[in-house]
Amino acid sequence: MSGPLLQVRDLRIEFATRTGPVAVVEDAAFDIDAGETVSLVGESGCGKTLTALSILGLLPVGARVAAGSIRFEGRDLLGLPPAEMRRIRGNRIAMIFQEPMTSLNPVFTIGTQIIETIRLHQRIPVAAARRLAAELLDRVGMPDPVRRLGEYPHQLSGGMRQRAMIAMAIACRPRLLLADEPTTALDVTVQAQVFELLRSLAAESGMSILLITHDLAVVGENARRVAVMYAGQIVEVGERADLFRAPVHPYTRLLFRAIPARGEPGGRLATIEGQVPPPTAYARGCRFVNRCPVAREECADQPPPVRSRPHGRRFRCWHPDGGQLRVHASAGQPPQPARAGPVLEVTGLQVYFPVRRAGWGRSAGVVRAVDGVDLVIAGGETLALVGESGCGKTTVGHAIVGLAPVRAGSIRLKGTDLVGMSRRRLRPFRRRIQMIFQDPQSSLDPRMTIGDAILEGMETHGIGANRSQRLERVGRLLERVGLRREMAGRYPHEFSGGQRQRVCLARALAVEPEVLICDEATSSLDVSVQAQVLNLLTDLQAEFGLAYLFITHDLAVVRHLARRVAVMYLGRIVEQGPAGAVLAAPRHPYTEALLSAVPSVDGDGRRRIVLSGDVPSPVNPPPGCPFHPRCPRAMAICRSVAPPRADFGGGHTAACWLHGPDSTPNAPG
Amino acid sequence: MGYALDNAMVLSLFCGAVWAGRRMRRSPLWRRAVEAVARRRLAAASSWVLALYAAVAALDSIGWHPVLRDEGGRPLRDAAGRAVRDHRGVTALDWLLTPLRETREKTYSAPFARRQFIPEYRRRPDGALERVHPPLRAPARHPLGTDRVGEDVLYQALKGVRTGMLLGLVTTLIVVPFALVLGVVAGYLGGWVDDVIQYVYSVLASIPTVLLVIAFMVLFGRGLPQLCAIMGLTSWTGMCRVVRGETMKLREMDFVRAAEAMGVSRARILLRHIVPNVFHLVVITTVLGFSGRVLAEAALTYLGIGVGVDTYSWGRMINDARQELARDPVIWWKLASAFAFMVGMVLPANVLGDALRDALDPRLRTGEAG
Repeated sequence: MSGPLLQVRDLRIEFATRTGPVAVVEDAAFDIDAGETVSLVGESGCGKTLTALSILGLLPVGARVAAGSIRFEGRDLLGLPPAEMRRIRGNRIAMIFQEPMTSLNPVFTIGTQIIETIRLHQRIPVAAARRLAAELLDRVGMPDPVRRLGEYPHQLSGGMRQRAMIAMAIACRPRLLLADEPTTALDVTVQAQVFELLRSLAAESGMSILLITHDLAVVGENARRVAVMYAGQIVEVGERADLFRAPVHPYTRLLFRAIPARGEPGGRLATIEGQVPPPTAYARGCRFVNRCPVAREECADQPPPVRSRPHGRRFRCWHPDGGQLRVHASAGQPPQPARAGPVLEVTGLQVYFPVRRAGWGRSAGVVRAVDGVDLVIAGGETLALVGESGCGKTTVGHAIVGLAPVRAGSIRLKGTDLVGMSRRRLRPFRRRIQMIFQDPQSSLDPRMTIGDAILEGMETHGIGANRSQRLERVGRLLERVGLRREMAGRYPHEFSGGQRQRVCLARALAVEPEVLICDEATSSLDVSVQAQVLNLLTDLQAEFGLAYLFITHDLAVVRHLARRVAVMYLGRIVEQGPAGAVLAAPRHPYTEALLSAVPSVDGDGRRRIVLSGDVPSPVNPPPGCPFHPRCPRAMAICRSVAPPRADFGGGHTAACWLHGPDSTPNAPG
Repeated sequence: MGYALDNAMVLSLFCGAVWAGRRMRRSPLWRRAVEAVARRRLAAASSWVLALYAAVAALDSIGWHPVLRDEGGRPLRDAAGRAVRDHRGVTALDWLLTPLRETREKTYSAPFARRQFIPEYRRRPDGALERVHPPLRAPARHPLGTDRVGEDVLYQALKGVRTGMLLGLVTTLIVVPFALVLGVVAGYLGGWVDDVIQYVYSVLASIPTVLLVIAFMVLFGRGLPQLCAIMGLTSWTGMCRVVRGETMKLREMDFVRAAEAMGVSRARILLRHIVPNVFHLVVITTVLGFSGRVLAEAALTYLGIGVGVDTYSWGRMINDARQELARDPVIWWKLASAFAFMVGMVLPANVLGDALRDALDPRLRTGEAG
């Protein structure tokens, strides 16, 4: 067979709305050759997932393919009868989804679900299918596969579930795998495991992969060719190496400059003003025109032509590489030096949650969510708290703002210990520490206007003499965070994710806090919007002298924003120190592994440490060093005795036996 | 017994509805919900049907005691010279339905019949016995026929509207505060408060309702108010459970945590954040529960433990129909009327409940906006 495995041409997907059909994907065209990984990149809402679903003929209700062709192995999939399509689905083309929890049926065992998939397309007896399922689980790196077959999805960790999903997807040896954000819900270390697996599966069986992602770094490490989507159109296609070296379309170029890892630490990131327009508001000409810094008249009036360049590069722009992309950059300010003394001191913090039996039962054990954490944040500085999900970093934040019960330890705000205070006495202190939450969807009351939400804290703490003064302040705050004054009367659902995060910032700033705890505040935002919010955070810090505790799993953001870093694993801080030192020369094997697992846009050639397994349960953490079961350099002593804290000067410490009393501290490597 | 209390209640309910309507008009969320319901034709029609029922019930609750008059139209006076008033009273509905109410037949007649359903034997002038269906006093004037004692069935069915409506409404007024307060408190505070509340409603829900109703009736006597009270006391558990569950979910939401971290007091969090966000559930459960209670009244009355014999209700009509169905030919219209009126109220209530659920569900609404 000649020609590409999958050939998409002039694809147009429409949604039926009350006012007639609206095109959400238009003129999409790309090829996937056998054995090749092609990546579809773009921000949320640009039509990547719909494109993938249309290949499988699984568009949601209301959407339909209005024009174009999708040829797979020489046959046009769009013309196939449903029965024929079902034979291809799951058999020749398989798909894995973003959220492994919701894409597995919780009431059936993993085994049942894999066997069902196999027997749907292959006529083999159950026993044989069962053996095959165990083999598949083994191939996707699931330890103890036979036992896992009998387990339910909730008994598996996120990474294991995604492995089970992959096992199901490759059960029939598909020629093409559609992977829709397969690791977005997973930790970096697990993400590294999953991509390692996908790469080896593709290499082994010659399977092609369509990798859908918003993360350019993931693309950089995995794809051979890239298609960048914006507002329902593919704006640039090319070979990965070529495109990454010299992006042509202004959108692609800005996207690269918005990535925190590429910006200077503490400096400003390039932002793309505004946000992706909704399909009903696509411009007549170039769809990027309203956000494009080099747009000219013809851009607004006429759709740009598709042009080609060597190496199969195609793009949709009137002015490729035209003009200087101006970045709203003040010269990169160095990270704020610590002003004054420490604002917040956390010592020996422990938060245990009882595992409760149903009914009147007594506690059946404790979750040691936070087990002895020490942190110091000085005024005006940013401390990043990093770690994988489940390591207790969010609980630390909750404990500091008084949302989690503290078992032991102290939390001092400018010398006053907040632990053990009554609700009444705590109230004035609560004003001074504020928190920004991860999910902008749920952090605003859907039934309250944002103006009321911002007012609430001021009313509670008596800021502003009367209502009109407070309203005036709401207006000023909204303008300060980059919104408009008159938006105060709107409800949260009228805002986009980035705007909501701005509202949350305004709400926190309204009560004049000294410490701001940002819990994954930018992780759910698109790259271009994330850059806007990060810049805003930097500005606000400079303006109000805020101290930030930045809780995140995104090391690129840490590198950009933080002056100091604390790395957390299973309720404890394993390494802490100045951001430059920790990120450049990590002393703890966990930090090392975490750093090496982060994909980077500039790609490959690094030594990669892929951790095996998952974070153990904090109900009974391993004795000794909690990291020893996964540590590639574990020694005998690690299994029994908790490691001492070694000091490397400049406030850089690590809790590891490698640097223990018996060994001289030296750089690992 | 006077109508003063009833009249006052109808008036206050009416004022309450107007007030709630104005509040809803000001709140964009509710206004959008109402618009969404109005867009769905079936739901809009349902709300009109329910409004009609409500109007009938309201008319049937406003009443007075007319002065009795003699044939000449002069008021009757007692020994002391005061006008004698009809002690049973007349409601506005009775007054409107005077023709139906006052034209009584001797016994059964089919809908729109001109002659009696039951034949009578009459001696002909020649002495032979003759089987005849005598003509009615008001031929073709009983759209749903008459019952055994010749009372108009449509009149009875319309009188049953008030009973059903009252049961639904008063019970709801008992249920909602109970369920809302206890559910929200249990869900938000958790701990032993939650344990106690859960324990109470689990126990209450595990006692067979019929037994509880019988016991209550024995203690306090039969009647509509008693029935409302006991049904209210037994049926808050379901809504309480729903509200508690939703509150537990909301408690973990970031906006509630943000308010806590802000130092907002618990009472304020409950009032400003939790209650508005569970209220759509209350509305939906209320509307759906309303139809359940109308049906329950019929069932209980059929069992002989519902409203008293002096109260018109659909349950009583169905109870009467038990014997009528055993006759040959079957007397079907009383059962059919009660059934039609009940369905006519319960079905729109359910349709409206469904429409409200869709209109008020925050997730669906977000989807609409995005």
